Amino acid sequence: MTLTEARDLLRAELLAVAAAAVPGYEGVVTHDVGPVNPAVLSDGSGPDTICSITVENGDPSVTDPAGELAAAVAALTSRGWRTTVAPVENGHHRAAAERDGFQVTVHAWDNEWRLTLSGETPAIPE
Amino acid sequence: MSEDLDALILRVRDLPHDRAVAEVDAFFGSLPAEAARALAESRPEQVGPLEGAPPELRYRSNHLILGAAHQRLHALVESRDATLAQRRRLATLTAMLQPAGKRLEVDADGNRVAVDVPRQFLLVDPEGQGRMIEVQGDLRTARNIAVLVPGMNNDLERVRSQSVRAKEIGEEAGPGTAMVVWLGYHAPLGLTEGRSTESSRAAAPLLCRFQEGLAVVRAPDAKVTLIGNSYGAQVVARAMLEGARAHRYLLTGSPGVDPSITSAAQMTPPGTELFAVARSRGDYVSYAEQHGPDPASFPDVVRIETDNAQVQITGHVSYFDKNSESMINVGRIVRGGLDAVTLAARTTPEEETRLLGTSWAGPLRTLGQSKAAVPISKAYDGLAALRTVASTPSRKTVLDGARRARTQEGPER
Repeated sequence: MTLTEARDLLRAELLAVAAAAVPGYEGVVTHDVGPVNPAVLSDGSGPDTICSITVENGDPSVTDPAGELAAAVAALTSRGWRTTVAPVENGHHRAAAERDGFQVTVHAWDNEWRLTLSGETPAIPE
Repeated sequence: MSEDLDALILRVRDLPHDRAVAEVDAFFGSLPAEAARALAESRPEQVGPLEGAPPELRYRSNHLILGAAHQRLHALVESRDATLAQRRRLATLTAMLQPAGKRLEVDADGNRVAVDVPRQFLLVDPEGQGRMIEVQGDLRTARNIAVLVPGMNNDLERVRSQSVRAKEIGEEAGPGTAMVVWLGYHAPLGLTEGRSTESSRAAAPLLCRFQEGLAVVRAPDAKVTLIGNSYGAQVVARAMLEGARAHRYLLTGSPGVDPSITSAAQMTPPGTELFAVARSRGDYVSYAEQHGPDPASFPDVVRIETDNAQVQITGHVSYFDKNSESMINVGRIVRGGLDAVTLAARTTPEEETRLLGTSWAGPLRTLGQSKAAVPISKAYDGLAALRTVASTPSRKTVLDGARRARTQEGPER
């Protein structure tokens, strides 16, 4: 798989899961700047080998972090992702998912209508 | 008005940081809004980097600085007189002028809308290796603010990856967080420069003044976390020794502070809520102790866990890996969920013998501080430069490919 294909796959997965988590609404890609260097915080000298994408979704009239997170996790699981749901921590509802080296995090928060799905491709040198 | 600004800048230059930013704050506070805006637009080089000035004005000034630099380089490229470095810089500036992304909001009619999020800079220095300070979020209303100080080899071209990491830290920390990528200094380019504390000593007072400037614009009850990674940890530590103001401090992959600093108590300013460090297994930079004893070995330090059942990290480059315990802990620290931060249970001797079955950290320390480290650093720098050049074309290929694909499929950015 090329990095381009990985990026497009991740976008499609995040959008599909976002739509499944919030009835009646499509997710929106809020961040996708293209390939970045995963080791940048160490010395910045490495190649750009991963893509990081964020998708948001939510119904402004509904605040249901637990329900939306559960729906997102169910959608991820049905699509073959291995998921881990963390205990709710200070109002933070969080799940992690992994598939074929891709990583996804789902964040939902008490008193917040937005659901955030953030994903990262595996490192793929071009 | 312009003369008043010049006099102000001259007057505050050598003042203590807190008094300097207070004077700047008072100066702009006394101006009518239109006059302040006019000053930001007529004197961007002065207002853009001025700590204590309102962030909205600085964003405007730095946008103008960016635009002017972009225009100059664009003309050079059009005339075919541009060097490869100038062409790269033009691509960087073009990206810096684009929106950072989108955000879901509710409009006046109660409808959900996706709005562009502009990039916000508190500093843009487009010359040479370049410097910049970027803000993600609203500094005035944020409950939590994190300032991320990058390390070695970050210039204006490569720092864009830091902005992505900052975005992810902000997502971990949650709503009400503002992130700052602080490349307000000339980071060492290569191990040879990284062996020196020249950059960190020059950066420390700049970071101190930035932190004071933050104090006059943030909400009174907002909490600030200062994060330094790798050489950035050396910068943050030097700034702490000079009294850099924050509530929480986090050093990851630190190369050491100073040979004389052996405990957290020696470097934490009064009022510190948390001083934490992270060192993953096999972090050769921390073990080498290039600039002094590793803070992860201080007897009075809070050392955060970096691994969990899903993601185990090793070495120097993975503290901000997605879904790692390290990254989750960074989010906890930034949002103030300190009771949930998990702590490392491993001891230093256990880690030192982990990779080869015998302690390699001692010899690494000796090598790192010996004269032999100089030629080794130069050889490494040569290899690193090759890796970076080799990687440059890939980004365009992927972006172009993805854009083509999306045009056919439908979804838009």
